[in-house]
Amino acid sequence: MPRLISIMLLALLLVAVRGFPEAESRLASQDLSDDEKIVVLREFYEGRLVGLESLQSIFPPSWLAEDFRPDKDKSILEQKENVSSQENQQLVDLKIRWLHFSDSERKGLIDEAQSKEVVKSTKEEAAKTLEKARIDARLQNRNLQTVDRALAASENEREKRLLNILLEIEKGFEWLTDKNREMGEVQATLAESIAEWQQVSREISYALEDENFIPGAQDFRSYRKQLRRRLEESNSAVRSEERFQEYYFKTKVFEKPPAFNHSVQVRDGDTEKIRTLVNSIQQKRVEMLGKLAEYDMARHALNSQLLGWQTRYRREIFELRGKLIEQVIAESAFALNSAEPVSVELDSVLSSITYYFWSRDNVKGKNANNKKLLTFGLISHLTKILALTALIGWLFLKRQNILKAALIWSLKHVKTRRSIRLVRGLFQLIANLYIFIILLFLGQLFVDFMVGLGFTTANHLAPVMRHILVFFLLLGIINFISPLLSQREQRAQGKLVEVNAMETVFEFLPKLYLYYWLISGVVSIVLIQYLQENLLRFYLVSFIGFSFMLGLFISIWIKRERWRLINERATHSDFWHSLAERSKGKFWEPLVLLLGGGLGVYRVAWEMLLDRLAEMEIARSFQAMVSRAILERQYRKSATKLDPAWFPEKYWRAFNYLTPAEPGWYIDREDVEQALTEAYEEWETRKKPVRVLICGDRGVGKSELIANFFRKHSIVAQHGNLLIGDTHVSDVYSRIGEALLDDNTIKDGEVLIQKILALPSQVLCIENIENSLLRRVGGFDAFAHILDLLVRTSQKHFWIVTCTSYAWSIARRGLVGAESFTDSFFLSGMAEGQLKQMLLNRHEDSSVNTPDFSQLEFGEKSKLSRRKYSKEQSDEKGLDLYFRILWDYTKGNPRQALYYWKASLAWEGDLTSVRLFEVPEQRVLENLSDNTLMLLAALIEHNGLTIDGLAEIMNIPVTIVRRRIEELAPYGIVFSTQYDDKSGWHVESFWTRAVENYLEKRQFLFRGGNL
Amino acid sequence: MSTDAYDIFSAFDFSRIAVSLLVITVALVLAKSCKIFSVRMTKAFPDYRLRIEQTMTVINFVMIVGSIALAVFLLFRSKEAALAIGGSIGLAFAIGAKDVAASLLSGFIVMFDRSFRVGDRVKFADIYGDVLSIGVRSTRIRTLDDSIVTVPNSQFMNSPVTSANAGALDMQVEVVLYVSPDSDLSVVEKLVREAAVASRCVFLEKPIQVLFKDSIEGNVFFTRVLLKAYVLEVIYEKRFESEVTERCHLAFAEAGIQHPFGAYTR
Repeated sequence: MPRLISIMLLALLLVAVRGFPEAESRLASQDLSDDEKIVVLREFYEGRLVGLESLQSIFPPSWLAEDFRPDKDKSILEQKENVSSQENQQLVDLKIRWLHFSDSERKGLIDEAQSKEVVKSTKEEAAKTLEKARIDARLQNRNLQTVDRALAASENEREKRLLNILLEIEKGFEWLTDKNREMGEVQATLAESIAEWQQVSREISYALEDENFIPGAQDFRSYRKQLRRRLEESNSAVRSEERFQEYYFKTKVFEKPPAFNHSVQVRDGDTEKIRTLVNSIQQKRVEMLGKLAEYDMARHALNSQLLGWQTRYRREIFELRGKLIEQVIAESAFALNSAEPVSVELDSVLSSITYYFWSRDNVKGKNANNKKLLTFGLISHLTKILALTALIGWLFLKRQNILKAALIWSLKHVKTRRSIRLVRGLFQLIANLYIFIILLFLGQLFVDFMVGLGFTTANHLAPVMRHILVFFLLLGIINFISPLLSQREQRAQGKLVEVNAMETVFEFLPKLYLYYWLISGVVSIVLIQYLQENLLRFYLVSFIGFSFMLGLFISIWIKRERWRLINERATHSDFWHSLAERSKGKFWEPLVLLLGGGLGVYRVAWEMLLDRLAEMEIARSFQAMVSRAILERQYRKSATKLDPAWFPEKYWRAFNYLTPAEPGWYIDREDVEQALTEAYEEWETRKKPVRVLICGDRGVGKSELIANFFRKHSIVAQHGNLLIGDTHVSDVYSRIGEALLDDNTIKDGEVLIQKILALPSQVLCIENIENSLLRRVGGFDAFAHILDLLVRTSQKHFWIVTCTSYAWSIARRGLVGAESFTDSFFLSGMAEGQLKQMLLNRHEDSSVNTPDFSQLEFGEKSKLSRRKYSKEQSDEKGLDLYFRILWDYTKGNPRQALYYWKASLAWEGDLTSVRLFEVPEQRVLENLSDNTLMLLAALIEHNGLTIDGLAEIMNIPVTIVRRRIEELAPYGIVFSTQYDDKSGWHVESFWTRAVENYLEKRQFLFRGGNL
Repeated sequence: MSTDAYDIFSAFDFSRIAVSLLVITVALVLAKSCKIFSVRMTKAFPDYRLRIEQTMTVINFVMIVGSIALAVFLLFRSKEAALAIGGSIGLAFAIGAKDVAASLLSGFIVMFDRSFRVGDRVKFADIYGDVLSIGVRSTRIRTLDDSIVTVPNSQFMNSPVTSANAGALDMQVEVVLYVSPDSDLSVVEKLVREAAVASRCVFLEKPIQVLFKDSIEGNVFFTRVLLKAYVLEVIYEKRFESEVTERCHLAFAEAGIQHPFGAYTR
């Protein structure tokens, strides 16, 4: 078996090796000897080779292909190496020379060899035709003389008549011979024309590659003249079919052969001689019909050849002439030598169009039967076109409805606010790019169907359509971007006229340029398709550009008041303002306004774009992260443990989270406040039961929100707090009783409910109901009783309770029916600006020192920023940066922000320096075991648990709890006030944010989900 | 040596062996570095642990297979020779060592079909455990008794594989308890639910369900309590089961809930 496999493997390898192209070429090349190959290649490189047949046995087929790329094709280079070891070195050098030619040189050599072959075959064909015509003419001459003599000698009337018919037939043969000779002469002329043109075109092509060949040179002008003459001649020849015939055949029409309608039959009584004559006439007639058919075919073949040549000839003239004109335009020599009559180009366009139509008819005439064969295909294509047109029309007309329906459908499938915003933005973009999308998907299809129908000229539409496609893409993008960069919001206090003017100009210039690009592009594409590069295109595009420029200046002049307004607002340079002042009313004022106002609008938009990007949360977070990394390297870290002695007493008190905030320090939380107010008004007006849950992180500002709500609406509410350890039902009742009824003896729920119901209808509030919850079996009872109390008394009272997010996420899973609140609000952290305002307000009220942020500035120290700032700007930038970092790290939690703010301050007499606060290293948490992290999570959820409490919650022995506490204590992550078994344990403020972040990532803590 | 054999060897360029070896070595070093990097990344971003591991697995797979292919390809003088001889060798390899070839192909399919991913808890035949790695030839699974089982990738093509978490970190766990049919089921539900929430292994972002079903087995009539909850990670599956069972036994005993075969005891 292994032997069999090895044989198979060897066989496969042999097949593989024999399959190499190199091997094939080696076998094929055995037709020519190495010396012969060398001669062939030399002839080829010197432009003397006729045809490519002999080359095919020397080069691999790919080497003669149009897309041959020797530099990119690695296998070719490999072949070069292989070849060098086995073949004649001279031959190898010649082969490698082929690889070193440029693409155009290779194409030129191949074209030349092919043309020579065409010339040669045409000449041979012409010679054959002429020779045949010469022989036929001699024969016919003899025949005519014979018939003439017989006619002169004949005395029989019937015989005479028959001889006249025979004479007529012989003259027909003579006519055919003349025509054949004429065709031969045309072929010979054609061969000469091709040869001559090849020589001329080669000469011009080589000249074009010469760097000394410049537009002003004598040769250059003579070539242009020659090409123009040839083009004029060709235009004249192809203008109509008659002229074309006349050009080549010297007759205006395609002459039909003479008709022979005489019918001759043998009659009774005819002599043998007459009978022979009749038979001869009949034979001649048959012969004549055959020759006529042959002539007809040969004439059509020649006609096709002439048409093909003329098409190619015109194309090559256009190409060469295009290159010359391109050089003229590139050298700006058109200004010096623009004598080239544009009329020739107009004439060429007209001639090309007429030539296309009559030559197409000529071809169709030959293949008229195809029409019938294509009937079904045509109907099918026609149906497709109609359906496609209807579809495009429908899509366009119903675009509003289609987009609206798609938007509604999409919005049904997204939930988060960010996704909704994203979907709306996406649909806005689609609406602006609607035409582009339709054209992109259906435009090419339409062109293809048109081509399928036989309108091959539709192919010429493809580049135009692509141009239009790009136009609609750019137009859609401009329309989409313009509102995004609108300055309406920023200049809300400003004049509406000014904002309108800016918006108009912002769109006006790009759209104007886009329309210019569209029109000039379409003109260029159409003309280049017919004429290659040409002066007509150049003059037309220049004219269009000039017209648009003139239009722009006129528009600015007409609306100069508006432009002046923009110019004033968009530029900040005194020089420019004075220049604008001086230009008022002058003819050059539009130029100043265009440069100042027009470009200034974009400068304003760009600055606004940067501001908007900077305001994006992700950008701000990223900036905070990078800035923090830079600052941490630059500055010494401040202390971790805060000592009240470092701060003025008033300051410490003001920044202690336990101190109730003064009314002036309160920062509005508009959304939640509004919702709370609506719920209150609902309860007040309709007396509908309302139980409000305000959920949020510890220290996020729930209590302040409620206090402000009461203050704002002048509500005198019964208000209480559950404390740490209030986890028994009786404790909870007692605490609520004390808070609401001033009676702490109530231990029974029913009694408490009745007493609360006996109170006048009012607002009742219990904060921190999370303290009634323990995450263990039986730990949900107190929480459940609170909910029961709320439900039973809310018929009369307006209830507000607060709970932390972590506790709420536990309660809603552990307690069936926990979600019994009529209104639930999640209070998230403050925005960056709010946080900054909160801290600075407190600072201003508590200290006379101005916080100094100069140590945080990036001004001259930072290498990242290229811009130089003044001292004030640096301070401002340092301040902004600090609060961005603080907001990013604390996620806007005010209590944590207060802590880190204090940790950032350094008091030195009258100076209060702000430095960067230190943050815990996450690596410490990464190295803790999962069980220890779970214990930390339990401490975050139940702040102040004792060792026993932790053991109970964690369902582990007390000893293990102690061991895990020991693991955490060295890092200062947890602390206890008394360090005994009866005192509670807490997470150190310094660590709280880091621990919460990490435990949330590890999913040991859950933030409550959607409310 | 015959001319044909010479032709075969002339298709190779043995001077490039050093380059080929270098390519493979660099790929192996990169693969190892990726592994170290991914461990560091999973610690820094624990919430993306699975995605990081899965991405790194794919990168390693592509890198190793790609480097071997590149190393072999470099040995050939031309592209045609590489394709022809490489294809022939590949065919011979596929015939001669079809199991290995099948495993290689299966590895590719498993990797991109994503029927299971690294970190998934899978059940395949008698094997139940966590997918540690999906390699070029085989997949390594760590069973619950901490044994590493290496399964050739081709095995996964013909047999069903059950993935409990399908690429997610969390996984649903079912805990079955039995109580006497005359128990107060509302109390039982409350206690079972609280026991589930009390466990630190439970994933609170997904729902917890407690279901009951009366059953008879032999002569015993009992109520089967089925707790359906999600754990944070697949590794907590058994710990969660154990914790819930323990807490429920204690709670049932305190609440006087009877076991079908007698009382629950503390």
